[in-house]
Amino acid sequence: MPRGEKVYRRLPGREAGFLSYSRLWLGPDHLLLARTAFFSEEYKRFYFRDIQAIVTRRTEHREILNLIFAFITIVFGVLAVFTDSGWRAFLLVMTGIFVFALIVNWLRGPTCVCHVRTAVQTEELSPLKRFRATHKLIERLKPNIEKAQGPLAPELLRPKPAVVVAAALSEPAAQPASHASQPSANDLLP
Amino acid sequence: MSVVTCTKCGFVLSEAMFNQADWSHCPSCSSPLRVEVFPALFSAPAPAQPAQLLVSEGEASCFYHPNKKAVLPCETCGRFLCALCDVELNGQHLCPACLASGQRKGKLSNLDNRRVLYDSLALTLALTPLTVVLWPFSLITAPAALFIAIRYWRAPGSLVQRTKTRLILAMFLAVAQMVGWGIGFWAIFNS
Repeated sequence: MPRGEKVYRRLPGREAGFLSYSRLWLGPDHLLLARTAFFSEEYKRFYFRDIQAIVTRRTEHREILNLIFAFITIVFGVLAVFTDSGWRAFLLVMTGIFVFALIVNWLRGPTCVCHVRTAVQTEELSPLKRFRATHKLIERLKPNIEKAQGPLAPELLRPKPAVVVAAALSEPAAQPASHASQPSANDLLP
Repeated sequence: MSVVTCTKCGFVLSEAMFNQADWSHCPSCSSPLRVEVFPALFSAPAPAQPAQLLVSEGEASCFYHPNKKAVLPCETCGRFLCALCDVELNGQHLCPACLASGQRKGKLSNLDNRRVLYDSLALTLALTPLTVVLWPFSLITAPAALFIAIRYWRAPGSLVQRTKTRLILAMFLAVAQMVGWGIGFWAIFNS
């Protein structure tokens, strides 16, 4: 690799915690999840040839956060209206801050949780919290994955009989760590 | 074939939900889902290549398994390897010993799962005493920051950020603080 050439390209999404953050990076043949905490960095690689599926689930965090911001805005706004002392300026500033936060949260779009699935694991891509960023990421990954795996034949997406799915269930399948329950084959059979 | 499950309830999702332009709903928990699947989901895992036994006297044998036929040499140490011992990584064929050694020494960046960010450590040590309250600590932290910056100048840093800006800044700040202390002591002893 020539000196100075960038191996990884930054992808959208970022998760910030207490003295830590996670980011996603696009490598030459893999997606890299880098978690930085204090003075160390941990990596997880998802090779394009191994990625089986990317599952995005919409959550209601944006609506919940908007409700919280709206409630606080109303409280500060009402207090600012009924206060005559020097506190009024402070309360108005606080109202403004929460209105701004409300607008920003609303403009950033729907929230989601994104999981990447390989043959041996299902891992949450924690930096992806907004659907817009997730969509951008999937669109950037698709050509790389298709280059590594080839195009997806349309006939593979045709629904299969329940018996085939039940047989597939009997094989060990990767599961998210937090979900121990797996529907039985009987649930799928008519 | 593998199956894709809902990430909330674990219910097995049907093919009708795959690669849809709009949100689908999990039949079990009604969570809105978008499932992008790729050919690897439908392909069976490639069977492992079995190591072949030696059939004639003149054949090269594996370094680790003398009764198994060698198929290629390790690209690092040159030892002959059977199909069982051959580990392919980034198009390179390595033996298990070279793989372990490469991982230990940090030569195989694709196997690195964790790295210490010495540049961030040095910069934090150099910056922290610049606050009003903690400035006396710079007597200790400035040399420590300088030591770390020099000692780990060539150590592999973050996989994703390759510049030495933090180390240079840490060295500059540390030297400046040490010079400041030097001038301070010189002024005290001369007065």
